[in-house]
Amino acid sequence: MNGAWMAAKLLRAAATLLLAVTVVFIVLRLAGDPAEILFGDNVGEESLIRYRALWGLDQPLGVQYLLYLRSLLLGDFGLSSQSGASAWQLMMGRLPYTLQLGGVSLLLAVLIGIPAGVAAALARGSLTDRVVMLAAVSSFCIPNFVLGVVLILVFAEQFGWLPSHGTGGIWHLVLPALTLGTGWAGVLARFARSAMLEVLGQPYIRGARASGLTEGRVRWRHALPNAAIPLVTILGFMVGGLVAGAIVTESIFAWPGVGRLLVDSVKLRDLAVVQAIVLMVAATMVAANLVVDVLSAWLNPRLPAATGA
Amino acid sequence: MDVALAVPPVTRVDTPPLLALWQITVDFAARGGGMVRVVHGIDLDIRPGETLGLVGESGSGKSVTCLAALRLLPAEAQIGGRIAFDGADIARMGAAQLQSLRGGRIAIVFQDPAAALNPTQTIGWQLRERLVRHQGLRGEALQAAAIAALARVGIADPAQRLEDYPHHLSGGMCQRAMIAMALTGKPSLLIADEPTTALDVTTQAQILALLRDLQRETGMAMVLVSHDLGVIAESCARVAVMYAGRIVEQGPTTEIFATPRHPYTRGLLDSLPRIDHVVARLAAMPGALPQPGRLPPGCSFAPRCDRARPACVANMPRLEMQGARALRCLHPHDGPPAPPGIVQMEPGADQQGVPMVEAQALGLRYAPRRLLGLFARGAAVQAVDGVSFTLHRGETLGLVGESGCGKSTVARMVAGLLTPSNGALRFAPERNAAPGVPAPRFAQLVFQDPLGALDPRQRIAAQIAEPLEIHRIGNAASRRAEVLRLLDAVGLDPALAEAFPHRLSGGQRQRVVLARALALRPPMLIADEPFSALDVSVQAQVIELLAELQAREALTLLFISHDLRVVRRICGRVAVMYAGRIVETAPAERLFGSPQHPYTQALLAAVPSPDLGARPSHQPLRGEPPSPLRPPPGCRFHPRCAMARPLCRVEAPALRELFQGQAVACHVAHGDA
Amino acid sequence: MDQVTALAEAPPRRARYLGGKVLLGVAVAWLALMVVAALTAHMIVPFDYRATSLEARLLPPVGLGGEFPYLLGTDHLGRDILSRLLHSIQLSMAVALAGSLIGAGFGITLGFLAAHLRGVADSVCMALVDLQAAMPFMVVALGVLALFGNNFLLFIVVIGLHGWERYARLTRSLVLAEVEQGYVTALRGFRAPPLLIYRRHVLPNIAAALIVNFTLSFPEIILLESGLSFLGLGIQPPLTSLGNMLGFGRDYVADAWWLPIVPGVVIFITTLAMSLAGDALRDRLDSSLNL
Ligand code: SF4
Ligand code: SF4
Repeated sequence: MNGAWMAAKLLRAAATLLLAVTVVFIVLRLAGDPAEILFGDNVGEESLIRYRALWGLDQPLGVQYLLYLRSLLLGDFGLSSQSGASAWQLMMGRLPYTLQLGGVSLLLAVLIGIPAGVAAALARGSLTDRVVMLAAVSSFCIPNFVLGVVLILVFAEQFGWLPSHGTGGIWHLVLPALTLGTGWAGVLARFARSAMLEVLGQPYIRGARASGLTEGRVRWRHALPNAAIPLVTILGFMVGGLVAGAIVTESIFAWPGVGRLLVDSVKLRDLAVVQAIVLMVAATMVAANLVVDVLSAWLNPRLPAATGA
Repeated sequence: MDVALAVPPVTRVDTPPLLALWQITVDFAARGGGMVRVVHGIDLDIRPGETLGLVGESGSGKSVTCLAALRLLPAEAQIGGRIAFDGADIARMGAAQLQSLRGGRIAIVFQDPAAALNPTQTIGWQLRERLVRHQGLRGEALQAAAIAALARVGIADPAQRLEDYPHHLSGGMCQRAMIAMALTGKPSLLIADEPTTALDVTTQAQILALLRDLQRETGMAMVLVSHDLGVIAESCARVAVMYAGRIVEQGPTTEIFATPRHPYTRGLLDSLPRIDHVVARLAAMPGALPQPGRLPPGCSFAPRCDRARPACVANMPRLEMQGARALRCLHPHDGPPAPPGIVQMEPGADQQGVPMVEAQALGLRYAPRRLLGLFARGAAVQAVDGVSFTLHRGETLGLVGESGCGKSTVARMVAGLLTPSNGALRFAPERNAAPGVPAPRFAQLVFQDPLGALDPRQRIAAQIAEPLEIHRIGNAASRRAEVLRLLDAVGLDPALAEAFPHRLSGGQRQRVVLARALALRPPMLIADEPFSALDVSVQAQVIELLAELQAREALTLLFISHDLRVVRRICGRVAVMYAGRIVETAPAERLFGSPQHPYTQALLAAVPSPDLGARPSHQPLRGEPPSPLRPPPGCRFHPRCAMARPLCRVEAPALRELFQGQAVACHVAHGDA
Repeated sequence: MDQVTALAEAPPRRARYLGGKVLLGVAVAWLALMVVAALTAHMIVPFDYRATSLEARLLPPVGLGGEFPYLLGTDHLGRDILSRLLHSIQLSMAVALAGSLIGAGFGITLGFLAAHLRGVADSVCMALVDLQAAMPFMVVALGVLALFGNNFLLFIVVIGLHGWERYARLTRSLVLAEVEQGYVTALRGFRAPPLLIYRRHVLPNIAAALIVNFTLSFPEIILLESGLSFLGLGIQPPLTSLGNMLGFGRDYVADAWWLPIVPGVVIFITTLAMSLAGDALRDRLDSSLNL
């Protein structure tokens, strides 16, 4: 791996993050006096003044910006206007649930979507291909909130087999994970199919066949690793967007994750918490992109990162 | 004949064939549904040890036939007929049998070597994989065999190259690696499908020589597929000419090239410009190649054939055997063609008058690419370095060289599309006569890629009129008249004025591009590889058109090309570029007749010629052009030069005039040739 | 590469679905129905969509025990579901269309500017695009709504922001590729003014790809609108949209399942039909472009 390339990527990631923070800062200041927004009407004038002094809100904007950066670096995202607890801690308390739900859903999606897509590509034009593709397009066109409600209706209300909301054992995970994973599986199946077909149409696949390599070797040692390159990108995108993707599902199933916290905080206009979650999502996305870049460079020696030059 | 040295003799007809094709047909699913037949019943025998050339222009079905023989076409393609290899029917083989045949006894190498290698695995990985498959090697023997395989195809430093990925290697190197892989199965038949088409001419000569050597060494048979008659003539003992999915003529190369009997074969040979002489006018076949699925009735060649009679349109003539030759024609030519009318190329310039363009020590340096403006990626590239020339009024100057030598960059600088980073360009005063809009009315650029050169969504007339419109010349009616005049001047039917570009053939599109370039009546044209995307038979038409326009309108022409044969036909004076510098410039007659620079000599020797007397007698130039990132010091040609002296390694030679008008940048050349 | 070789190479990559042409026909017919419903909803509804009726609450659709004239039954306030559905379709479609147009207009303009100006302006535009792409849009939308509260106009603007970065990136790369084409070089050789090149030549040539992007992002916008409304953060009562019907309906899933299912099915079929039609359109445009 090339050091300068890595440094440039890191710098770019840091720049994106800084840009995100700056945008949030500007938008927050545009929206009005942060002290008032954060505390609303439920504190007296005196505490507002104290808060302003505490946070340097009586200082010039530039200083405020630096103070803002400093507090973020120290992990201080402000206090929830609802509970008065630290926004950071509130968020971190919910994160494991989101990771649990998102992780299981993603695993489900990968295990179903990618093999289905590859199988469809290998049997292009066949009945399998057509069925898989119809299932794929249907599964990512069905919105989470529809699928979730249908699943609840059938499995929780009608048959009473599975719990419809909340957490608990593994059974509580089934419906939300199915809801969340279905759409992702559809997306992955389509991507896997087109990536695989793209590669299968390349001259080097014909070259491999022409040199008498077995079909298995052509498929699994030549085609699949090359098709994996674009799949890594889309997977990274999914991992980065995990929190956002789970928002609706968590709300339907009353799953106590970050997504639901976000929705509740938006409804109550609890800005400190919203801000913390927005920045966390941005950071996750940037980190996921970084991982994707490194993985792609490892998979694809043509990228500048992989070459020494 | 000394021909026998280069080419193995024709095998006797009675040897049983190694590969036999009987009535091969190939159909593809058409876009609009239904099937299109692209190969119409090919009969072909390849005998052990022989070299068969399969020649034809695009759409002739030559590559598809080869792929069909190995069942390498996509599953949608329907293959008819019988394919027998050594008596076994390939069409009936099971997967395992077929797989051990492919890359085993029959190997194939493809046109675009860089694309035919897996980009994410090293050369070594891919080579070892094939060695395991075909020779069952393991461990150290495997590694040793891999190294030996690369060494055998002339790759220097093989152990090192095994670790490289395909994108690290040049096209020529990739092709060598492909050939090494093809040889792992010790094939008795090698199919080479346009193996050198993507390569430069000196590299092409190396690869062809390598294939000939390997064939002599191993005694394998070879099918060489090419659109280039010269390549076929130099390598093959027997040749089959294909047109629109059929074989039209077949026989020993010497006979076919000496007395082509089919009008298409003869037309093809006549439309190919030669490097050693200039004919007064290339005999161009009219029209264009038919598209698959839209073949004319009867003989597919009839609409373009000057010997066609009513009977030709009624039925497709059959392929008749006549001794060693086969012919599909009702009224073939008899006897050898008339000798061409050879003319002298005049420099055609007004050497005394005001020069149109004077380039002085032109240089262009590309700054290194940067990431985030911080980290330089790679070094600066000096694409062009100290190029000086004068283009006289009415002259046709050819700028030749292999890819990456900087010739197109020079063209773009002269056209004003790039700004030189060093040196100066001086133009004739008329360029600055009308302030505001001088440059486009002075010189126009015509380039490759006839598809991209026209806006796909605008009618032909609108595109030709557009320059007039931009410069507010005339009104709608006068522009309309001008469009019709221009269409006529480039030999296009005025009915095409309202057509969209996709309805036009490649040759017609190139004519439209010429018409558009001439709309502002510029005194000068800059043509950058204007013909390289065209088939030979179509190319000849456009070459003649350009030559005619140049003479009629007294155009000054800067002509950029990698194809020395075309340059020979068009240009009065030629400048040869190598690695960003001009190494030799001379009047065409002198440059082609008595080249002085070692590189020019090698370049000329590398051009394959269909004329049987002109076979390459010496070793092709070794090595490859240097990377523009790290050009060698001193004379940039010295690592490849057979005449290099110690001085060449340190001091760059300047252009010296050796004869009247012939200047050479070489320490050694003295003009005693 | 010649045509014959082209035929022998890469097979088409587009998805083919079970049902093929029939399915596509049904999809197009459904979309036409949706357009008609959206255009005429206010004229054809049998009831005022806000009219409540305490006697006719939670009636099932006709055929499932319900009775005329409440074809699709009634909700918890006794409002006619069919009437509400038609109005929801109208509003959802209108919001999605307005949003798409805003996003497309903004993104395409920015893409052209970035491609034309290059250099620093390009870098700034692309940094913004990267930033937007790095933020899942749902989170951005929620953040904006949290900050500024909810009102109809702001909601449309938020929806409109969705996907602008894809238009910008797509436009920029298409323009950059297009101006490398020979005909643009030739036009520049004629000193054609850039605006003429972009308007007369580049835009018509990249329009097909932009239209395809439009058809692909439209269903996403419908989903975004209905998702936010479902969460109670989008369209607010007394206005009604598909997502908002579903959001209120899910509380009754146990007793009156048709409340959430009817709008849910409409959303699903519409997005599916849109995707199928978009794919078919892309197929068409692609093959018309490749010679
Ligand atoms: S058969 Fe007739 S049309 Fe065909 S090539 Fe011979 S003479 Fe020409
Ligand atoms: S200067 Fe030397 S190295 Fe260069 S071409 Fe002449 S002899 Fe060869």
